[in-house]
Amino acid sequence: MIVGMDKIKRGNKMALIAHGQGALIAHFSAEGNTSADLKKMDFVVPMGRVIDSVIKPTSGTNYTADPVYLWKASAHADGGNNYRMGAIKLGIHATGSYYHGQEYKEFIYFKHFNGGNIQTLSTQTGDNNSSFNSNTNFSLAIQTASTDTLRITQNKDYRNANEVKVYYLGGGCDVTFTGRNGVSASGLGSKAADYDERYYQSFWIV
Amino acid sequence: MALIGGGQGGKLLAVANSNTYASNGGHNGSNGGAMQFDFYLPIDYADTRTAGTNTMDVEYGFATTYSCHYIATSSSGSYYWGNTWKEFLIHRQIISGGSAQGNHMQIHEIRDVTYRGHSSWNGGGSGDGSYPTLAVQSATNGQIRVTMGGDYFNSNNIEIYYLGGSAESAWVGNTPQAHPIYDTSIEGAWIE
Repeated sequence: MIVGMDKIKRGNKMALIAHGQGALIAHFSAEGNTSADLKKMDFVVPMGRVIDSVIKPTSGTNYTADPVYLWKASAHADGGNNYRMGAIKLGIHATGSYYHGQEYKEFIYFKHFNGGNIQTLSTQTGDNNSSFNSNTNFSLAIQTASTDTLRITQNKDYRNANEVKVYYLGGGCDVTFTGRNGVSASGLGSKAADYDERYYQSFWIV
Repeated sequence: MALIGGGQGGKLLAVANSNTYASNGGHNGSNGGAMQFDFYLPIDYADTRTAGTNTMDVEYGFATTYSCHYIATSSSGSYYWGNTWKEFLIHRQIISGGSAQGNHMQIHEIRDVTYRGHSSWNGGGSGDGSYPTLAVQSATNGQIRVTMGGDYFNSNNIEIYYLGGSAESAWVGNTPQAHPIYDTSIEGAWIE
């Protein structure tokens, strides 16, 4: 949507993020926490775990040379033929309301049959009270790799004043960009057009 | 799941792995070279979209052939194992007249992050690694060529995600839908 455009593009069917439903996938508040322990939260990221969920071409000229077809045929043998390795991007906003402060981090969760890994992509820090930043207890870790369960720890503020929101920013999705031609025979790469008739992925370049 | 796309399609642009293809022969991968494939941006490449002709239309004179796209690649290896995430901005201008006439399309790597489970993943060391690389294959068609690598020739995998941008289309996925209708009729004035 172009900013300043005061109209509705009817019939467009433009799919905004999640059809306008936002991308907040997890959040917690430490309100009422009387324990001195850190408040932590586990959540499962919307990560495609198996390649079976991805549509492949099933017929058409040379369809067996399609990268998607081959990807499904034996994607990651070391993790099982159905195992999928992808990555997901998360934005996490950690805030405190007592020693006020806020910090935003972007993380990449790499899924891998060897256990996976989380890397920090960026960090932005607000005009925090010095007491808010007195420790570094804002972190993300893998809790259970097999289920893509991550654990977030946030204790930068007073024990009952911490909040966290987790946003899905992309990646890891388990649906191919197929389009109106769906799973019909491609003949040349996956049939993955949206409103045009193109193939969205071609053969290997020899 | 299709959190993004509302259950009607995802934002996975392309996938590939080199191990299956490596057994097919006829490609550079089996000789230790880099393997390549092409994918296409979700753009109205045929430029069928039109803007309104009413001068009060905020899209009057609108350049429908300009677009930008934010994508990410997640590449991984299973032998010298590791992961690399890269984000790219790709922008495209198709200018049909004047001194700037031509197809203009550039790719910019925005940032990246790498994890080396094996010290040799993606070139080793502490840098981000050279793979994957993207190159414009056809500005007209929004065609991007991917060179994948980083691991042993038959142990590379890649997924390419669409993070956002000018894909002015329905993410229709498995549910067949017609071409979206671009209604540029005026329903209001500019907001002051």
